[in-house]
Amino acid sequence: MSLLIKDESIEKLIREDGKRLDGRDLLELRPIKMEVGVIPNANGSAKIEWGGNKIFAAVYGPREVHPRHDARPDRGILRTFYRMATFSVMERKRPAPSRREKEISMVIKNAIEPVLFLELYPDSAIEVFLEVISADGGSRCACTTVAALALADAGIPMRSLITSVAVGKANGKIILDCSGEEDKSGEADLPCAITWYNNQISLLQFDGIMNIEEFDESLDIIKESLEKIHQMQKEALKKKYLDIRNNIKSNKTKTISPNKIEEKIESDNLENQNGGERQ
Amino acid sequence: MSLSKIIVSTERKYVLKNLKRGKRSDDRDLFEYRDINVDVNVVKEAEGSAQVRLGESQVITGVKYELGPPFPDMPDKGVYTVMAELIPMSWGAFEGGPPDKQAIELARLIDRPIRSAETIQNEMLCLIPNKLVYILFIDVYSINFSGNLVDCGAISALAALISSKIPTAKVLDEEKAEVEWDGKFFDTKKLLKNLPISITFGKLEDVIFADPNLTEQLVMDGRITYAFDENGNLVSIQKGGLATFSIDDIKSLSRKAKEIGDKLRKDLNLWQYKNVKK
Repeated sequence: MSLLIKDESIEKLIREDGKRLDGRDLLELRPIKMEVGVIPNANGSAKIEWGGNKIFAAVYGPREVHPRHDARPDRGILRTFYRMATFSVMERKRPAPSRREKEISMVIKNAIEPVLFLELYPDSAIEVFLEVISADGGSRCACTTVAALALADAGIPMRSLITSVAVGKANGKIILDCSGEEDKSGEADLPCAITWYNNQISLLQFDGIMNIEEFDESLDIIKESLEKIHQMQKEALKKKYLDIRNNIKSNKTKTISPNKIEEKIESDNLENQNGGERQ
Repeated sequence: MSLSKIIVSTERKYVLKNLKRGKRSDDRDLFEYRDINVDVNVVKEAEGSAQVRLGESQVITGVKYELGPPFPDMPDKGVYTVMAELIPMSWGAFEGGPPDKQAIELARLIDRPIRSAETIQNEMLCLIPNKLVYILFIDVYSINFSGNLVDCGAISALAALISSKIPTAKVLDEEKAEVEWDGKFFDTKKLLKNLPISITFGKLEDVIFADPNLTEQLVMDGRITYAFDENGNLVSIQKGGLATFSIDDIKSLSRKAKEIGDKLRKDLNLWQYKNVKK
């Protein structure tokens, strides 16, 4: 299968003026937008737009485990499903789950599980669905970040949030938060996630080539930028409730005072009886 | 997975009682449609994409292309397929894995009006007869299932197609099937003609209503979907579920569907999404 516009690797990722191809400084994040409570059916949900990434996260549970033999009598289980839409990448992805998707699902699960109190939910499952609608490099970091938001939105007790970001290397320079093209043509990729309750790393992968000094420097850069994203996460969570409060204040939502509720029930009942008689 | 798994019988009674009085859980009239909201170009790497909200129902559709051999019985025509996935994210009772009966029916219901109305001018999608044609993939994902994904998905498929930028090619060597991008894109106004609009009715006992929401979809006995093209001709019908319809009802509903569909077509004005910038 061939495409007309080819996906070519780019030699020069850093411009003459020292900026990156999308105009960012070396240690600058892409614009990040987070929103909580976007899927009404889910117990908790969130959406993140991180550069060209667009990812939905939904949490269902704690709920019954299917198949039953996966259940554990002493604790709950966490299931994470990282999936990419067929149209999220340049060359259409086959609809069946790929090896890559399965691996990332597991990596994200292992990153999230330490912050949950699974021992509180014997015989149950908490399921996190991550659907990458549009992918643009660093999707596993965006997924981990948005999964934490969806879990918090679902009201599942957590020791802390989890935040994730990647550092890479392009043309010999350390760069923060690789875009899709930097991921493909760059020299290294180092995704990391932090669990804030103990300030430790719960997701760590590396591929590419770096010397040990560059690696040390990368981890320091990651620590610094994770703080920023953590703030955004907290703001996104608060915003949902601030919006509710503002809506009530501006009387956009209909509220019925308690004494009126009884009147309403009575009038409804009366109407029902009349309706019944007519038949 | 079966929809009936989580229906509470009292819910059915409650919905039926209210429907008989002409009332619905979301304050609509029996034949009133929910609000529709369309956003296009929501996916960076897709040639075309659309996010459509119908009430609380939400789908995202993407259009991708590949170049490949045509079907032997249509050597000079391009190929297009519709796939639908009811992903477990969109509702608690949907399960992961390959598309099940429901998802396949949904995909076919979205595909059929487009095929019957000959919306996609697939002879334009042929590069070298017998050898190389465009293969279009129209992939529909449910994001939140709140009833009536058929109509919602059909609109998103059209909006994604209309907003798409599919590169055109010039043939370098017919023998070796070598082609090259000529730097241009298909004009979707020429590639697409005769847009169909689908309208779904639900039936619970003897009450019929348009655009079922989640609760109604779960408790109803069945549904019927009509699709009309721009010329007012029927292009597809599907009766789903266990409900049975009288011939008179089927006739009168077709008129009702046309009436609602014409209004919807005007309100949506899908061609406005043709040149929306990414």
